[in-house]
Amino acid sequence: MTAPAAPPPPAPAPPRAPSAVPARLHAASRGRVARWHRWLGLALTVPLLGWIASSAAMMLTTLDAPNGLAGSYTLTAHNSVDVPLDGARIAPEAILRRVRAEHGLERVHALRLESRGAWLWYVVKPTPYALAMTFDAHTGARLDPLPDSLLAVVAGEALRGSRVARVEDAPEYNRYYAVDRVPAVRAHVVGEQPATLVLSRDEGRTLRRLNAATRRFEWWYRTFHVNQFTDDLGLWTALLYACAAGMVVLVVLGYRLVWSRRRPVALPRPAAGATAPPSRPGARTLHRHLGAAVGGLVLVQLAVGVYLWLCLGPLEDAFRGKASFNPAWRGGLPTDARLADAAAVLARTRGELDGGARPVQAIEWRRLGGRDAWLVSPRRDEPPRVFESATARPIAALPPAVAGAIAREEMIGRAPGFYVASAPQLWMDLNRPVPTYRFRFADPWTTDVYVAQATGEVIQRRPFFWRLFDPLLAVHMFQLTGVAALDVALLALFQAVVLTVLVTGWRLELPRLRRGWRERAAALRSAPRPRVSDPSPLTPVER
Amino acid sequence: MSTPAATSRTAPGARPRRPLPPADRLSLALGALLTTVVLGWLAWHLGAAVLRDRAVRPGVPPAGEEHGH
Repeated sequence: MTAPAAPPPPAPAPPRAPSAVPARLHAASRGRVARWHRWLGLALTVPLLGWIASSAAMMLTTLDAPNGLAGSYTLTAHNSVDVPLDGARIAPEAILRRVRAEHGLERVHALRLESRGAWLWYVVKPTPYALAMTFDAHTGARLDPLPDSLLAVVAGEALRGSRVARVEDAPEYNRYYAVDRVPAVRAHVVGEQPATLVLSRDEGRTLRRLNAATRRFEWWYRTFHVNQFTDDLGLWTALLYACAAGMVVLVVLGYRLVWSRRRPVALPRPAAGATAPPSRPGARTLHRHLGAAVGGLVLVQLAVGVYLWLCLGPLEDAFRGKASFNPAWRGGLPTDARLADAAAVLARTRGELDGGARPVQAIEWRRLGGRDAWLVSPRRDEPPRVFESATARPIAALPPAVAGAIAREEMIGRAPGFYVASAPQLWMDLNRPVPTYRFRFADPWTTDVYVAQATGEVIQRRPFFWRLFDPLLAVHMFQLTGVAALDVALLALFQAVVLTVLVTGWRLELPRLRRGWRERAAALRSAPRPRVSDPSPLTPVER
Repeated sequence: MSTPAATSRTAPGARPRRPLPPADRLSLALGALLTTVVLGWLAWHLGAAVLRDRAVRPGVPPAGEEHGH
């Protein structure tokens, strides 16, 4: 008996023939992605190197800088020439009447009489954020914009033990002025405290001080970090953002290449050396693995960097609080007010001042919350002493309500606000913190305003998005742990890895480029050349 | 036909693909981890800053002055 024949096992399905179309598509798509990745990488080498080098340089510059970018300076306490303020031949009232008659000003923010070198001059500040007008206190001649010679005098009197070496024109952005660029100079001083002082041309106000470290920081930052080669913000920002967008595409394509290593099963393995030069397997592996490991972080840094530059570049006015200036400001001192002259102010405040043998350096006439006041400066390196002019009584600090009313008048739309707290804030003019009141206003930017307790001066404006800047800056600078040494190590490691990806990318690409150059040169060599002795078909005239 | 190395997460009809080599998966995972840590740090601190800022209320002015103006 024979067993019934078992049904034959089903024949194994013939292996599916690899479809040529998907394989071609895969290879073609991968090739296209790889080509774009290569060319973008080559093209973006310079900006990427610039970002890495500049971030390292800026980190090293500020690592041990005392007081950070603000620097530490000792200001001169007194003018080098003793010029008594009561020697002014023109009375303060006359200056007010003059700006009323000649410029139609009904009110001014402040009027100041001060000595600078051998000069004695009045400074009229029409509004808190307008350029000032400067008048010679003996002749009444208008001095602003101050010439280099006068600004050299101002610079020579600024820092203790230093003298001016040279002055060069350099208009400057400044958060305290409504104008886009404040006419200014850079005065280079040498001596005990070598520095560069940025002085406004309207009154010789110190807008910034730079030492060697901050100059170096600024150079790296502007040249290689944000690529601002001239004052044309729009042009260079477009270039910067184009580089950043290119970097984003570069990283995304890199990830696409890694991901495309999931080859279709039926696709035959590429022959060894078909895609990678056999001499560079280490470079390729390193490039791929390190690139995949830091690509995401690079994307985060690009996004944060773009946002930070948006704040510090195109949106700087809003970021620095200039968007909250009140263009309809109507505070300050009426130009028809009766003012005591310098001699009277000095006579009535002498008992309260401890100026020693040196003359008082400056007197300012202001109206603070409906009361006229004198701001008397026995020294240049300290905040002025404030006196109520009606009684000559010293005012140690304005009541918060008065300071708040002054600040509100300076806020766009006179937005309402409330007192928050008292806190010291750095006052650039004196390069030291001064006691301030902090107010919050309901303007479009929800601005926090810091007002000097003594003088009612608005020291800082911090809009909402300024107040959220710190975490973003911390991420950009890798200040994540709170331990400075560890943060520096993290940033250095990140930079080293990105640099390695860049170098290995070039190492992979150079042989390909060299091969292309060789082939092109060979093609040129083998091309037939016209013989010099060939008669030209052109007539001499056509030639 | 499928092979043991082929991934099963393919759409019907699509050609199955081999998974990424382990080293590639490791570097991608490391990249994702680092990115997540930094983004998480940023989100945490940014969120805290926003909450702190929104929590600001009128303070008590010194010297018994009325607040607000």
